Amino acid sequence: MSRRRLLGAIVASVVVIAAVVVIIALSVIPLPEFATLPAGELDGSMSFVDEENCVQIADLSAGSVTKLSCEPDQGAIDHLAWTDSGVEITTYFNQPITKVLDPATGEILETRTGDEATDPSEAERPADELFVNRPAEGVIVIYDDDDNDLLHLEAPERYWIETAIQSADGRLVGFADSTGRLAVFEPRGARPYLVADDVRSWPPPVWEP
Amino acid sequence: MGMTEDLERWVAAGLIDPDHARAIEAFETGRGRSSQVGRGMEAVAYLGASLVLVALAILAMEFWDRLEPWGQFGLSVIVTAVLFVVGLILGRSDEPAVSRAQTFAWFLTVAGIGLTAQVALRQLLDVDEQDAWVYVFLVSMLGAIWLWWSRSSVLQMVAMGVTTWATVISLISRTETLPDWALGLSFAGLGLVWLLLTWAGAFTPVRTSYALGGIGMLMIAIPEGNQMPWPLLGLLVGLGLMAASVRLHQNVLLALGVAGLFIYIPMTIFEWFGESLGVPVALLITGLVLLGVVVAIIRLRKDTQP
Repeated sequence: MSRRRLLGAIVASVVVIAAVVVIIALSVIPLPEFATLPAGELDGSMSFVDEENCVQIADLSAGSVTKLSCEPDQGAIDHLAWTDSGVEITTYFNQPITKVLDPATGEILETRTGDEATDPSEAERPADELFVNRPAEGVIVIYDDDDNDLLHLEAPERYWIETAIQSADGRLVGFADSTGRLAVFEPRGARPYLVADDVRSWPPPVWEP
Repeated sequence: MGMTEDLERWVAAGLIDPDHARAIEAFETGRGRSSQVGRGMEAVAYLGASLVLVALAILAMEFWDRLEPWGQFGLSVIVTAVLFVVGLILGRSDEPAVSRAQTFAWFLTVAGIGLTAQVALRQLLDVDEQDAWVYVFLVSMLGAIWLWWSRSSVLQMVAMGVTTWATVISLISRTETLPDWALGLSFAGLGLVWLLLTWAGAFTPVRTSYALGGIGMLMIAIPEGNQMPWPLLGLLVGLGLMAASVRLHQNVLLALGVAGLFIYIPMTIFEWFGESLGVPVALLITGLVLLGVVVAIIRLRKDTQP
């Protein structure tokens, strides 16, 4: 092995690696930033599942997020719904188990198993889910059912809004993004506020009925 | 004509001196005598060993989930250590076929290192999944480099290449702020570095190393697909590999260059001309370009013959 050739190759390799790193560093587009939700700014509550398989409740008017219940040994929570009966979660470990929780205390109000439980594989996507699209490079838009733009975000290529859900009265939209953040906003023009940053996108977050 | 006659002719022609001839003869005859296991037998042995390992892996998977995290960690450490020690023992054998089996055992050792790191990070230290994969591949890469340093065989080079590229993929994949093409550019950059270090003699075996570098460079357009200018860059990489094959006399680079043209010429044609050119025309252009390049390479090779 020629010492001179090896030295040349090492120098050239360092130059190649440096060039690649510089080009990539210059191409970075920052993630969208969301302000922390101040108390009293918005009114409503959302439920979501976090990375630790716990159900959480975000009380937007109080600006607080609390853990309602965790399911560490029952398999991943595959289905989440919020009905007048309470917050309904379904896990699947050998068989489906559906629990209805009190949204205030986390107390189990009802447990259903087997055929009585909600089958997560048959659960449909939420009816109030909004359409998300990337109309141009570096832009993500959330649309309503009438194709109105509700939110424009400048974002890098790999950033994505996994699910965007409109509240029952249509005043608020909550969305989970690909970085595990849950944010809420008032449609048309308002900035999104950050609610939580350890959110699983499936099952989608749900609004209080 | 036998080897002895060849050596005598070369000595008579002044190409080598008698000492060289004696050394070559001793080396070649010694090598032939010591190999008592045929290539066919060796292949059957590898097949048998692979079946045993697959069976053991299936058996282990059945009770793997029932083991406590420390049990999983302990078992993976033991398996990795056994594979490494077996490789060490096999490498000391005078029998070439047995000695070659060392590279197989050490190739599996790299997988064992990865499994051990994965269990330690995810089960014992509860590291985030995406972060864990970066460390798993990084640790595996360091292990693969060390084993390749100890014995630079084809399998050790493949393990080193695969774990290095996997480390880059895991690093870039966890960064959401980077565009997709960053992955392709990193592949190509790493491939070029690999080719440079092989050319300088730092990486051996040479053919395998050139192949890994060439494959890495050809991956430049894979993440972005048809989007310009990436297929065009892929095309240029293919042509560059073919040109390098002439200079370096490496047929593996020629084959990879042809493969690159075969992939990227149709992609470029379809991206530029869309549906206006049919598939037959695209294939015709691809075929003509390939034939033209091969003719050019044959002429260039003739010109560069010493």
